[in-house]
Amino acid sequence: MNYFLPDASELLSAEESAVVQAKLWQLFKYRASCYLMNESTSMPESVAQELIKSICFTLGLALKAEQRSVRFLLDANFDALFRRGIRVIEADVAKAKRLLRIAKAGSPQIRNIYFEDTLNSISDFQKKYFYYYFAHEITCCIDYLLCTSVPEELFGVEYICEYLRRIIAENIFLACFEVQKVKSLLCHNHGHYKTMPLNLCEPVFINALGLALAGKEPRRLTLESSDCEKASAVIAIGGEAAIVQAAEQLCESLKISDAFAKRYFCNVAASQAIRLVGASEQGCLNNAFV
Amino acid sequence: MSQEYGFDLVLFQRSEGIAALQKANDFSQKFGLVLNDAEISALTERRFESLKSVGRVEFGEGILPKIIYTFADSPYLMKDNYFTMLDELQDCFYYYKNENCDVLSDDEMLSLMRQLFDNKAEGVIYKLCDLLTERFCGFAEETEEADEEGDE
Repeated sequence: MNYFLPDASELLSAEESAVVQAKLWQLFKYRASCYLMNESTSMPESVAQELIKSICFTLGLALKAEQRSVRFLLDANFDALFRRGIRVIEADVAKAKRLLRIAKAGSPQIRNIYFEDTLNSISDFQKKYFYYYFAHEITCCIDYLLCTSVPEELFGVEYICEYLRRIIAENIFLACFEVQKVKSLLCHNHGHYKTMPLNLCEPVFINALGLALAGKEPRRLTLESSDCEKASAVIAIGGEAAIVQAAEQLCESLKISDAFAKRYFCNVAASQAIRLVGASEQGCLNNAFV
Repeated sequence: MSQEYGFDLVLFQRSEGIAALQKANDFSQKFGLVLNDAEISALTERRFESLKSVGRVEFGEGILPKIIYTFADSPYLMKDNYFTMLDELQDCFYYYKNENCDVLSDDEMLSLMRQLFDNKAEGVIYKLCDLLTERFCGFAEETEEADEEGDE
């Protein structure tokens, strides 16, 4: 319960927690008998664990969608809440399908087998996603790394939707640059970028960010040593805030209007800040760029 | 598992299990087989030990009432060995439920056990276990052979 209905134990007293557990037990019994088609009264512990995770995940989704606190569980009809959770999942599955279409349509003209395999695997996600019993599972193979990974507290279709949103944001970003320039940058970064498990966007973003920090045209993608010095001076004065601000300016200059993409790249910049500030302090910022 | 989820399965199962065994007692009484409160309590505890040892989770009242309903009229169950037999049949059931990978439903499994117990096993638990092992090993081999044929 703790994983998918967060802070439940903190918000509920011991007595209240017992009430919720009793309701959860009744729902588990019903779901388990449905899963076993009333043919058995016991199951391997590993399967029971997954069923409980799935029930808690589904209830948690319904609570989240209805913006209710964990205390709502005290009076809630768990069967009805579970059904509402299933409807949220079904809506999310449809959303994931739409997002996948957008992600595929906007894929960069740069090959990477991990990128392609991951999108193909997500295409099969729906076929293997048995959300009535295993809603929290991520039933596809996600090998392609993102600039910043999806938070670990997301599961099932929630994870897939968030992953695809991030892929779309990265696609939007990469589409702002000439393919040849991106290819040559990636090749410089790693000769076998087509067959390596690496992110296509990150080196492009880092160099573009460096140029934005130096006040240069980001589409150029290559930094001179003078650009590194200027970027280092800006970082020395403004620190992380300057880096995030440069990311905002970068999105504006690239005419990225998508709100999620803008927010995403500001977060990517913030996640890179420690590395960039550190390199700047050591006087080796040029090593941080490709 | 219960601690991991803040979800005490055993607590719920215990009370349900005891109530169901008391009800099953009314049925077995017709055959002169009755469990006293201490035996009911002990069998309920043994149920959790047995489940734990084979890594299974049970929901609802447990398999013991069903074992009682299936075996109560067996000629090999007597007042003196009733408690011990139930305990061993319970262990046997959970163990072979795992061994057959849940292919058989509870009812099918109990029916098979009863048939073997009354006939070839002659009411001896270890013989019953041997026969079940034989049956499920055979079943596994048959399944593998069928899979191989299917692949071809």
